[in-house]
Parts: sequence; C-alpha cells; structure tokens
Amino acid sequence: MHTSIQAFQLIHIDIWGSFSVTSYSGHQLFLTIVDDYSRFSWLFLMKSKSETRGLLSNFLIYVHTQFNTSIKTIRTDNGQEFNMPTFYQDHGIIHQTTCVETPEQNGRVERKHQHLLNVARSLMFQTKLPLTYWTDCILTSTHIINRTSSLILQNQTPYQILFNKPPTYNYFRVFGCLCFANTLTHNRGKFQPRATKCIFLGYPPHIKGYKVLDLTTCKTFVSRNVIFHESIFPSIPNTVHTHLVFPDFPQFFYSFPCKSSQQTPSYSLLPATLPLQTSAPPTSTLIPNDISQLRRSARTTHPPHYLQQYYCGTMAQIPSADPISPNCSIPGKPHSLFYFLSTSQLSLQHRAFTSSISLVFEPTTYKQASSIPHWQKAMTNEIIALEQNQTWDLVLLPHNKSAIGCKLVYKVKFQADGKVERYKARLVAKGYTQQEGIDFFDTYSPVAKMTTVRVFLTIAAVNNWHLHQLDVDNAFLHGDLHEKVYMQLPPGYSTPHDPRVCKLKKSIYGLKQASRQWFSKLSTSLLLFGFLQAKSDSSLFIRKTTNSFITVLIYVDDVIITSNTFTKINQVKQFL
Amino acid sequence: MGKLKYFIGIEVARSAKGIVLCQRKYALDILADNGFSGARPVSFPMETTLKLSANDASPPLIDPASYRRLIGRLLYLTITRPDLSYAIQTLSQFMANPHTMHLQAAERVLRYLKATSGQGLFLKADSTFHLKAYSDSDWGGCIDTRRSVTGYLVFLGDSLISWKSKKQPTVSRSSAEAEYQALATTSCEVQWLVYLLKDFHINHSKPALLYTDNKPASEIASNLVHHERTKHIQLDCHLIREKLQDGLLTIIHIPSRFQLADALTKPLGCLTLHPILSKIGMVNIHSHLEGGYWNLQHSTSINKEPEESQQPADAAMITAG
Repeated sequence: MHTSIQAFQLIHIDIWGSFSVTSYSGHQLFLTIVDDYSRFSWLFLMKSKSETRGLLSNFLIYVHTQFNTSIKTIRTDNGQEFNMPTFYQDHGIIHQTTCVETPEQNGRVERKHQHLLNVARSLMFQTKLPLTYWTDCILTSTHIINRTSSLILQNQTPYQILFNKPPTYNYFRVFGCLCFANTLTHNRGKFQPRATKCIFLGYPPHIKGYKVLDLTTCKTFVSRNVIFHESIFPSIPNTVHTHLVFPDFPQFFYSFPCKSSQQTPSYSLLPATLPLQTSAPPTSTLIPNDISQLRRSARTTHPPHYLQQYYCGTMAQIPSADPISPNCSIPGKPHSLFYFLSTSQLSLQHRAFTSSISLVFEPTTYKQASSIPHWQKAMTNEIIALEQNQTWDLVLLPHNKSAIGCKLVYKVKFQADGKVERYKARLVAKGYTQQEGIDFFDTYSPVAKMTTVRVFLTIAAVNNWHLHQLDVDNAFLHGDLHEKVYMQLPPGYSTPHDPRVCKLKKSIYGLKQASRQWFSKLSTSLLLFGFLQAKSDSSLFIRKTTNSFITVLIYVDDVIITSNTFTKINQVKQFL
Repeated sequence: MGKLKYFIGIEVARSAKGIVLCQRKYALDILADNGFSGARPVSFPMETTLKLSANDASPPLIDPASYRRLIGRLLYLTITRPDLSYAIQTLSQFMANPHTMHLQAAERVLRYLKATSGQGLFLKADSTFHLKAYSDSDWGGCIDTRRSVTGYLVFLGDSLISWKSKKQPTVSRSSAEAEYQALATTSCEVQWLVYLLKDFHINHSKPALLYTDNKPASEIASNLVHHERTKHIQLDCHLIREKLQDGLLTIIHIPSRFQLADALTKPLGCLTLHPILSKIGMVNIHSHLEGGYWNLQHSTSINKEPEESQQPADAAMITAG
C-alpha cells in the first residue's frame, strides 16, 4: 500500500552487515535509507554501527537543504544504534520501531536490501572481482536501481519521482569492464603511456567522472577521460580477448590487493613464481579454482611455515636429537609465547639442548603417564622390581581393616650434560592415611648429627683415611614391616571390582615407619657384621680390629664409610 | 658408590691439606628460587645496629609461608656456615608472625649469600685431637624478652666442628650470669664431644680449653664466690663446676678482641666479621669462580692472637678433590 503522499513523509532505515569481509576501503556495514514515497534509496558505507547517528543527522540536513522539506517519520527496527530519543525530539520526528523479532514491519527496507544484493551479486558474478570489492558492487547496484523503473511506481523510476525529471542513461557503462583512463599530464613524459589499464568500478556521487581501479598500481581514482572496452572483463582471465590482447593479465591477480585474503584464496594465495602464461597456456587452466588444484599437485610438499614456530619443528631440524627424548611432535596450536620467542637465533647444539630440556615433562597423575610409552615402561619396571623383591602378598582385605592408598610419582633423571638418564616411576604409599597404633607405632629414626659428620670428616682428614659414600638403591624397600599394613592395588593394575589388596611385607616409600624400618634393618645387619653402635650418636657404627678401623655413618639412605684400609671398605660394600 | 663427593647436600672436596665442606649448590638454589641470583652482594649478613623485634611497626607479611620456607632453607645452610648462624637464629624467632622488616633482614642475608655462596668450612689435615671451645654471650640481646644469647664454637684441633647461637631459656640479671649460662651450655657440648671421640677410640686425656672473655663468670665457675649475686642462678648451671673438678676442661680468660664466638652472639660488620671467619677456618675454594668480590683472604691480623689461636686457612693453597 502506498501510504505516503509526498517524499520524506516516511523513511525506512536499516543497517546491513556486518559482513565478514572487510572491503578494501575498510567498510563492513552499510546504512540504507529508503524513501517510502519515491522508493529512492541512499546507501552509506560504514565501518561501525556508531557512525549511524552522524549519518542520520547529515541526512536530515541534506533533505532540508535539497528538498526544502523535513522528514516526518522514521521507521526502523529495534537496533540500539537507532535508539536516540532526544535526537528525534529535537527534530520533531516520530520514530516508529518494529515489534521484537518482526522484521516484516520494516519490510520496505528489508525488501530493498534483497533487491540491492540481488543486483550486486549479479555484478560480482559477471565481473568476478575479488570479494573485497563488494562495496563497489553494492553502490553501483543502488545507483542502477534508483534509475530503474518499477511497476509499483507506475513504471516510473524513483529518480523521476524524487527529482521530477527523468534520469539520463548515456553515461552508463558496464560494471567491471576494461577501460583506459587518461594519465595525468603533470608527471608524464613524452614517451610515457597516455593511458593506464583500469577496471570500471562505478559512479562516484556528485562527480562527473568514473571511478576506476588502476591495474598496475591497484589504486582507485576518478577520471573523466576514460575509454571503455565494455566486452572485456580483465578480472576474468579466460576470455579469449584477454589472451589475445592482454597477455599479462594474470599478474594483476597475483598482486591483487586483498585486505582479507582468507576470503579470496583462489586469487591471493597464488604464488608470484607462477610463470606468466606468455606461451599460450591452455585457457581452461587459468580459471582460478583449477589453478589452485594444479598447484597442489605440482609443488613439493614441506611443512607449513607456521610449524617452524613449534618445538617439534625445531626437533625435526636436528638430526642428532636425543633418541630417548619423547617424540612430541603432536600437532596442535603453538603456545602463544612462541609468537614472541624463537629459538632460531640459537646455535644448533644450544637449540637441541633447549628443546630437550623443555621437551621432558613429568606427569603428575597416572592418567597422564599411562598414555606415554616410556612412562608406561617405567611403571611396569617399578612394579616388577617390587614384586621380585617380594614386597607384598595379594590377599583379600580382612574385615574391620582398611587399605591405605598408593600412587605413582614420576621423575626424570638427568645426566650432568642434560641428557635424559632414565624415566623413573616410584610407587609410594599414601602414608598420611595410616592410623597410629594400627598401621604404625614408632616412626623415629635416628639421623647423624651434623657435628658428628664434621667430627667424622675431621678425624678422617687428620688420619688420612679413605672416605667413601654408598648410595643404596631402593633403600626403604629393604626394611621389613612388622605391622599388618594393607595397601590398595597400584593404579593401572586394579579393576573396580577386584577385592584383593596388597598385604605389605616390606616397607615401601611413603609409609610413616619406612625410614625407621630401613634404619633398623641396616643397623641389625651392621651389628651382625661386627660393628658397634656408638652411644654418643646412634647413627654411627664403628668396628675396630687389631689393624683395621672402620666407621660407618648413616643419614637415612646416604651412608659414608671411612677406614684406614681400602679393602675393609670394599668388604663392607660387598656385605651391604 | 665411590669416593665421597656429595653427601646430603654438602659438597666434599678433599686434598692433602684437608677437607672442605661447602653447600654452594644449595646456596645458589636458594638464591635462584628467591630471585636473588642477580642481587647486589653485601659483605656481612646483618646490619650491626639492627635490633629486630617481634612487635615490629612494619606491616605483617601477607604470605608468611614464603618467609618460613626461606628461613627453613637457610637453617639447613648453617650446617657449613657458622657465619650465618646468628642472623638466622634471630630471624627464625619471627617465623610465627613475620613482618616486612624481618623479610628485609632475610633478604640481606640472601645478598650476603650471593657474595659468599662458595664459602665453606675447612677441616685441616695436620691438626691435633684437642678440643678447644670459645664461649660468649650477649647479655639481654633479645629486646622482646631481655634474654641473652649464647654463642659457642668448638674446635677439634684447628678444625671447627661444632657451634651454636641460641637464646637462653631464662633472663639473666648480670652479664656474668649470662656468660656463666653460656659456659654451662658449652661444657655440655664439650662433654658430648669427648664421649663421641671415645667412640672413635680417641682418648681425650688433656682437659679441653674453654675460652671466655668474662672474668667473673670464670671465677664463679672455679669457686663459689660472689654468692650474693649468684645465689639465684639455676642449679643446673653449676654442672660446669663439676666438670672443672673432673678435669674435663680448663677455663681460660681471653680479651674480648680475641673472642671468636662474638660472631654468634651479635651482628658484626665486615671489619670484625671477616678476620673471625678466616680464623675459624672458613674458606672459599670457589672464589676464583665468583669474580673475587671479596674473600676472606684480606683479613689482616688485627692484633696478636692468643697462643692457641687458629692459623688463617689459606684458601688458595687448597685444590678441590
């Protein structure tokens, strides 16, 4: 229904966008204003929605000056950008909004959008311009539609109704066609070209000229002196004319300015190394999609350049990388740090060192470790060692007894030069769940006093005795357990319905009495060997024979031995 | 297995001249973990005029656990570092409620550690098995409780083997009383060391020498004089009299300037601290690695030493391993 009886009685406004592709001019949205009476449309490109208010107030002034009238009513949807009541009040404008989620109430402008985009799409398809030039398509389509007659306007054009004069069409040209724009005189030598190859990009408002895109510099400018070749579209390289007349057209596409290259991959991702097809290549291969397919099959594959930022990329470049190091080339996103940090400045050895340090990681839970083979192996080794040592019996848990938990702890042992020595998994009991009086009684274990250590060393120094140290592997596992302690099955070896538990025979790491049991075991065997425990420090053991003197000092699992004869030390070591 | 190199965090370096114990790696780890690897070094651990109090005006620390952790690690460092004993003894009194002031003092200790990370204890090879002890006290050293601080050093021959810096359990009415208590503590330690030597089949027949710079205290120990002023002294302190009569030890008076245990009872500046450290056998075998910021070599003989004093250990002569 044609409700308005004069122009600007009612205007419909809407915003289109934001479009995912930013145009070469930086625009993502446009504001459409449709006059209800004449159906004339104004289209304003925008970079953000906040420009709406300024555009709208400029439009009011424009209408007032040009048409000597004022806008009575504005109809919009409920967009926040249109919500400026004081602005409307100042101009005495009625602001009509649609109901929520009812865009059909703003149907005039929505329908206009459909029309505009239909035309713009067809322009785009005809010319095959890159998507970043969508703004020129949409502006040109507005220009055309305003000058196209419509049935609803009794076969008149919006232009005619608004301006009361028929539009002229003699300046119309085919959008996207090849044209030659005259070069400017002031920088032009006598033997320089008088014109440059361009693409026609539409009609600039209020200028008598054409907007063209220079194919050599990829800049847009407005020129009046243009010669058009309206049957040739430079952006479509497979037209016969293109090859015959302009063999270097593809070059244009390879250097086409694309602000959002990801949306125009068939153009911008083509490498500049592709030979220009001067020797008449088959025309079909120059269709952009075909080109990219051809490219994919022809080129040698190498890892994407972004992978150079990965540590796995660094490792891949180092053939001498430590073979024990886990192969961590798990694809994934690079850590954001690597946008700022690069190892490429380091020497090869240093890079290998850095990566081998950072590659090694110690899992904290069974879940993490169980997925990595070398940790699995370490865990299996630990369990096998414990079973060979007869650490436990598998029994059913008696009534009114509770089993304490256990877990595996993981540690990477390094050699002095930073190489991984081995991966070590250690089963520890959760000793903190033990109950005093049931699971353990005494926990005290003597350690050497520091003064004793110093006296020990002083005497050894003065007497010039041999000094040796002894590291006991799995020291705590040697201790016998007198209490009845039940432990759950180690993680990875238990099933949810397995009723069995481990009845510990040896003290394992983590038990409260572990160090005590170890010390008592060690001291018993030393006493059996003929040592005497010193009264003044119970971690000191001394054995004196007629011509030999040997002392042993114990600090948990660190043991120092000193003796006047070397053979005695070896005897003790053998014994232990 | 093999020769002794590294034992519970102590690096052991041996040569024909003796054994050096140091905790350089441990000290550097502490520095690195606290971000003091690049700190400005200082030459003594605690400012000489500093009197720390539990009720400090400075704000309490937001994270007291980090202070406790730091002091705990420094405590383990005193295994080979008698020079840190007094500072850490003082700082560890504020573990319950540390204030910013205390953390600042602890950070100064770290900066001293930065300068002296390779400092270690030298156990001389050519030495006798004769116990010598220096005993000292700082009367009313703690400003909160007005208790005194005991400090003692025990040498086996020329090697320092035992030391302690500890606040006394009771308040003393006089400096002599504080010294007397210190003598008692020292004599207990000497007694234990004699037992320990006996376990090593070393017969300590000569009486141990016990040096003190307080005349009244040695007089009280020898015979019961000054009854009017000493009658309140706790009975257990009088065990020293028994030890004297048993011939376990002899008390010798020395002037205060030769008192080596001074370093364990009060904060000392570098001019007094460094000579003492060189006398008690602290050396830095790593000094050539540390740019020679300072080391104990420049200790000058401030005065003529008493007859049984230590030979300054010659750090440069010792080669590691």
